[in-house]
Amino acid sequence: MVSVRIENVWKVFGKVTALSGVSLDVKEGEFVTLLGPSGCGKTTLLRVISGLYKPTRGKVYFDDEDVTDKAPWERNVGLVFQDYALWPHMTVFENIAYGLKLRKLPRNEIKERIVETSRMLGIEELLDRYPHQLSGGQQQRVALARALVINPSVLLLDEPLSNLDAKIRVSVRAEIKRLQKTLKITTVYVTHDQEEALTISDRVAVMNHGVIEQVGSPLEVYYNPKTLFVADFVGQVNILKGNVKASDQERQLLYVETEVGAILTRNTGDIGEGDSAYLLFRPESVEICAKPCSGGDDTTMLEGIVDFVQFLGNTARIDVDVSGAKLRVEVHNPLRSGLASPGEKVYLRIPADSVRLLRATGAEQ
Amino acid sequence: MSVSFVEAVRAAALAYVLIFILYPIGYFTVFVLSAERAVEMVRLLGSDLFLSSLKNSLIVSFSTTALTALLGLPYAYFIHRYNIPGKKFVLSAAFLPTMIPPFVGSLAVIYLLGRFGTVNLVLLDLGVISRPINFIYGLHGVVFVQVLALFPWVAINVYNNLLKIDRTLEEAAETLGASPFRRFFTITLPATIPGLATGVFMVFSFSFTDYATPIVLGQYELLAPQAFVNIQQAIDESRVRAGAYMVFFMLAVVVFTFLASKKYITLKEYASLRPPRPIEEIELSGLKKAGVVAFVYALLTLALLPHAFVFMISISKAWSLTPLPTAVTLENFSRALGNWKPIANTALYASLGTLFCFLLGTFAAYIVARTHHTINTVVDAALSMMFVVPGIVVGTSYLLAFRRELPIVGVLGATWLIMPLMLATRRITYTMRYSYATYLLLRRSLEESAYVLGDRPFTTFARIVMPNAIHGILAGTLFSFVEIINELTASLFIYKPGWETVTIQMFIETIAGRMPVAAAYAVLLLISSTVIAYTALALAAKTH
Repeated sequence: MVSVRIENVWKVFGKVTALSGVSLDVKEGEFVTLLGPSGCGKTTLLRVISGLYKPTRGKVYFDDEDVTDKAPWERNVGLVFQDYALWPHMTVFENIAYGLKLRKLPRNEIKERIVETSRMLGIEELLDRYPHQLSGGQQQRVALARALVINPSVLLLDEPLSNLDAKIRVSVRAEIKRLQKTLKITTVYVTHDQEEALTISDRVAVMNHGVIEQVGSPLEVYYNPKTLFVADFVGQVNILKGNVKASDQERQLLYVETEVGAILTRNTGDIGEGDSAYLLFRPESVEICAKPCSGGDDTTMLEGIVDFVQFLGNTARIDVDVSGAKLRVEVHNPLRSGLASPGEKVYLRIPADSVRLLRATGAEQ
Repeated sequence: MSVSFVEAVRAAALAYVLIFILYPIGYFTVFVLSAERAVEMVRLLGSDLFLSSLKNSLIVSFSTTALTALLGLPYAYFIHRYNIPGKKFVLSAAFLPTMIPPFVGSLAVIYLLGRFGTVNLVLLDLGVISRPINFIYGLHGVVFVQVLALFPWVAINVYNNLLKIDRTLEEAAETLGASPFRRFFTITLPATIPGLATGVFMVFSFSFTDYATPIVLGQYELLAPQAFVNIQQAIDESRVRAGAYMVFFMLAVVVFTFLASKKYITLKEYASLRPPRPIEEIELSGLKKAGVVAFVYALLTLALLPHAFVFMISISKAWSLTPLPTAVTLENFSRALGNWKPIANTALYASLGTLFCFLLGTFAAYIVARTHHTINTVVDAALSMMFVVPGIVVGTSYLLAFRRELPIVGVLGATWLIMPLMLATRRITYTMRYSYATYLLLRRSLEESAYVLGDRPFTTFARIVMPNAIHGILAGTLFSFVEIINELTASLFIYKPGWETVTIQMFIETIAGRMPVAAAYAVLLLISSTVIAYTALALAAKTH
């Protein structure tokens, strides 16, 4: 097991810059996910770590060893591809044995390790089959076995669940996490699915346009997004732009004037009176009431008209028109709280503690 | 690593392309365009003989091209769209005429339609005519033979193109209210233009530069026969030069035609990656069905008639002034097989040539499909170009360029090795295209997963790529083999006594009037080609 250090890595393809100065530390035994939309550079970064791409600039270290110029076959990494890349002309056994044979292990040891790994993944019955005889989930496990059996220094997974259907995805996700914890293997995982990233990772690196915008625990990136992009990409969020009108030092509150009126937020940073800033709050932190909500201090009360309702089963998303701005509210257990209908007048209550403030730099999209 | 696998392959491919494609064609171009010769050339191009030959050549090639398009297009459309009885046979039989050199058709046509050929004799016997009709001696005969031999190129290319049309394209037109007639002219026909353009170009290029068919039919006043006779049979260097100018002129016309139609031509579209949803066959009935079936079978019969006649000629003992042979014999075959030299030469040259195709095609196509480099572009362009360069140009270029002493290789034109090398170079495109298409179908992650497990590029190529690509590569290689054993137009320029191949020997026998022996060779060649081509098709089907 090694730690991985990426130092100011750039990757340029012709006129396209896929990575612009990315740095990231992955600790030994840690599970880090690269999360971002397609084209953000996450797969490129994974391929730089594997050695399939050589960075245009920058360094990659495994522990303290500079592996930047090492070919993929000299790195001892395990890589699970999005399409699994099982060799169609080899049986499952031969697929898994490939890396071990290259390491010139004795025949009986190869067999032992394959039996052990395939038992761990529940594929011991499939060893004689060919890839085309397997289901998607089975192929995925074989690909994982092939990567794990060589005891890689780092395990790299490139959207390994994207070809599975929704239910299997959830169970395989849990299994990968469990395996990783048991084997304590340093893992870098690529996905564009924020739910997957939040459930599986020790830390999440959110990427956009070839840079890492924020690295942190799932809780951190969800509740304390450092940029508008992170806030918007990880989960749903309401974003309002405003100016800080007044501050209440005693209660540590700021009054921010926005298009929907003044909103109260907890003053946690260096933003003060006169600054312009963005207000961010999650739809699930907003309470929606048919009559004016029962108060409590340090909250903002707004009123608006229901514009659109999406019923999702366990939750409902309600878009509310407040002075021309659309605010989204998420209601859990909609049956109990009752569903508002479009056109209905409603009241919203936003606790100051759930409103994040980001300084407006003017560079935001 | 000092030299990587990819770099080694790239260097070898570039060396091959430089020596065997760019050097001879470049040498030929410089030879013709050098200052003192350019003047001589302009004088020749203004001469009466040249102008009348050019006129005849254009008449023949335009007529052939137009007629092959008029016949090949409906042939392809009918067998693609309608449920025709014996469809599989009709489809594969269309390949037969492409599997022997087209001049063989003239051999058959002489027996069938000659002054005292079968048709004239029957008509004379019946008293319909009192003097034989001249069916074939003239430009019209050349056109007739070429059309029968070449229309399948149009049909095959259009048919392949039709296969690529997704059903939804037509369905979309229908749901918007297009009648079948309108749909055909606004959707289906435009979608087949690339295939049609490719087929038409191949036909034009072949017809314009074909010298064997006109010579067998005694038509010398065309450009290609003029050039051939000047270069191949003249000892006088000035006549060689005159021939070279004509060849260069033909090259210019072919290149111009190619460039003019390039935007429609599908040379680069090696294979479609995903099979589209096929168009549903239509079940015809009544008069319509009779008309369609009659057209397809009549054309096919006409196209296969030369083959039937060649077979009859090959087993004929005595056949003159009678509609059919009066006695049959296997003597022609024993004479053909008795002269084992051409057969042995063909076997040797074709094996070696095919091996070159296999090695070069396999590796060069791999680097072209998998890596980016300017050299790849040069290699790919040069190898694809060989599909377009007419045989007469390749023959002339090789003859001129390799009669000089070169460093390391010496006078290559004086050794028989030039034959397999030329044949491989001329027919490499088939291996190249099939291999390339096969590699494109192979996901790159298959190799990458071997790399990360610790395998190096060459062993990965051997252990992962080859086992999965071999069927496609072999299919392409076998097609190259078929095309190599049928090559005539370039071989005739560079062969020396003792190097005769089967096709060269066929030509020699035909010119010497020993038609039955030539026919026996043709039958042997056709059988070999057919068996190999169907093996190749079976292999190609396995790749999917």
